Amino acid sequence: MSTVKYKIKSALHDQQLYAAIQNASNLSTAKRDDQILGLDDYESSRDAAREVRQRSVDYSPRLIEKFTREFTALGGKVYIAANASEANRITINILKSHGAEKGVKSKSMVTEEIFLGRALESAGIDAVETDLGEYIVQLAGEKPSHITAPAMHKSRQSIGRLFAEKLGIKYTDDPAELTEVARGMLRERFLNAEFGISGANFLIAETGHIAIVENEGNVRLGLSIPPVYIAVTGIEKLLEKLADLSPLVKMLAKSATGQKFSGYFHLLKPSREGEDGPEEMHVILIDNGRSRAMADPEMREMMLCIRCGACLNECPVYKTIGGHAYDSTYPGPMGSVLSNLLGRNKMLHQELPDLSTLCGACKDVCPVRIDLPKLLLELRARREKPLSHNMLASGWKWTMESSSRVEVAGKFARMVEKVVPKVMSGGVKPGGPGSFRTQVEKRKSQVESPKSKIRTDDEQ
Amino acid sequence: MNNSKNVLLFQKQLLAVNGEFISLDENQKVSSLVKEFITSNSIKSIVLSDFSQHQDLVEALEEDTEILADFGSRSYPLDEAGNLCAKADAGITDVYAIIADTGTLVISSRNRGDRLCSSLPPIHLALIGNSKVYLNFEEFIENTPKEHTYALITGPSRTADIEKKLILGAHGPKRVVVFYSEGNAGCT
Ligand code: SF4
Repeated sequence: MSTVKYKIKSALHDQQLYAAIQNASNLSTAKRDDQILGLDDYESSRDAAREVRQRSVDYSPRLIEKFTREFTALGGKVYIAANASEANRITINILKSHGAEKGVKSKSMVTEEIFLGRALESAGIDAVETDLGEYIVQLAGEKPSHITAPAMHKSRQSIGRLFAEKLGIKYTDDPAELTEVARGMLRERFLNAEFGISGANFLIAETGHIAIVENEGNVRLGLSIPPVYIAVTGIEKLLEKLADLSPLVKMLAKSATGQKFSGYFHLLKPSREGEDGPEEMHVILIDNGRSRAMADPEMREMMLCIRCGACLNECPVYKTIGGHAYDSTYPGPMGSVLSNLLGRNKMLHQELPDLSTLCGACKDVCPVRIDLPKLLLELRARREKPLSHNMLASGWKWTMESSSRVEVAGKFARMVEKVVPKVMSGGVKPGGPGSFRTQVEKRKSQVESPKSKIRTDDEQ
Repeated sequence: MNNSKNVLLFQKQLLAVNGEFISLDENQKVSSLVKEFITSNSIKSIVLSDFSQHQDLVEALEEDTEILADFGSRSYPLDEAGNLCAKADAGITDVYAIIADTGTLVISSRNRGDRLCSSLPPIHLALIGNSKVYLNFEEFIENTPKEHTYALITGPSRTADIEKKLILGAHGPKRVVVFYSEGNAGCT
């Protein structure tokens, strides 16, 4: 059995996981809808956001050059890393040259992609994750299960038990108390940090600014206190000019967290004489398959992604199996495409394009209008030969006829049970009591069908 | 001209993101309102960003509370600055600009104190009497000098990483309190 199938099997049997994912993604979509419905120019805003991203990908090499000029003129350093190991080596070399051993890190999917945490650890460098969700998954020895909500697969009780065990505190499952505990533990680390590492949402070629969006204030502390600051991001994140931020900023927080604007938005660059800022700033730009994807006429579109995570929250498959089952840094619809474009070789995650019902919900919510179903179909077609268990291809047409997500999930469950019969022999029979299908059917009857959750117009 | 309308919008949006807004009458002084806030919230120690142009504020505050660091009076090495700000009950800064339709404060890189005083103490008191006022992000980004660095702060720091439950005060301030004086009355 492949790892993905094995992980799907475990996920389908995990009631706590299912409840956690459903709860978190439903709350996320509701909050997003609140913000988006309040926009009278949603469609034209998406067009504007897409135009900016399209331009930034089209001119990427030129923009990298310009950014590098601006950033280095101010005393910063820019590196381009061809792949993960090169990026890790560059980071470690910077830190070693300062003798830095202890520092802080903010959430960044690119650093997850290259396994920077692991590389630092083996180099004897202690970089603690400071985003609460990342801190939780780091303590648990796990990977994030969502690109914007790393610990969304965990219940408050499991986080409470984790903190009690690893931090030696008295058990509590109160989110406010748990947050306070993490704040206290990490304060100490911030104040003594020798370096700070974060990702970056965008880089501005015109001015040499790094733009970072966050809510917790951990990025802010990470670039306020340590003398050395390193931003690690992909080569597709360049924007031509500061004004290009406007349409993206308008969509990003709304799509990602259902906020009108993120708690913090940083625009930073190496500080000028007499101004405040880290003493040393480095930007590491990672290719790792991106330039190959940009040169691929069909797949190029994926490089427009701004990592908002909306397509995960909307996806009936993601909402059923959670992020870990994808066995890749990037899960959900965007992950099923992106994971097959990154790395030294293409198509490293061949099964992932099957983890979609092609219902089109992802495409409908994508703030930059990425046609994810089209890309997923293209990837399916590109596989040399179909997988022996082409999990959903046979069933997708039928699924498309449905209108409600819950129904889609139910059908998905049935299909999974059909194609992974061995999976289910571990005690639970397909459709039998306790099986995933039965769970979904049960829920289906409990869920009234809210209007906003039905998509009838655009499903074909 | 549109400023007062924009400030009203700012106030509304700030409150919507769990910020607090205190507005002054013509004959009130900022320093006395800040003092009042400090006493009623039992704030024992504060850190100040650069208020060297407003020595009256510094002097007024000195009477009621311990000033752990005053970035207008001298410069501090980074680690000392961090430690002092982390110990303080509140940090006071002025604000480069506000963005009305999101309730956002814009802090510039003018001075190390601006950054640390607005991020480490549990309460951030922000004085916006002299701030530029922009309607939205677009207006801000198009009109602002490109050579500086900026932090845009919208309400207290927050997280929803545990079961999507909103908790204020993740790593930054738990409270953001904005003091506004119309027509630059008093200082800042
Ligand atoms: S593909 Fe679109 S919806 Fe999904 S994370 Fe990227 S930008 Fe967001």
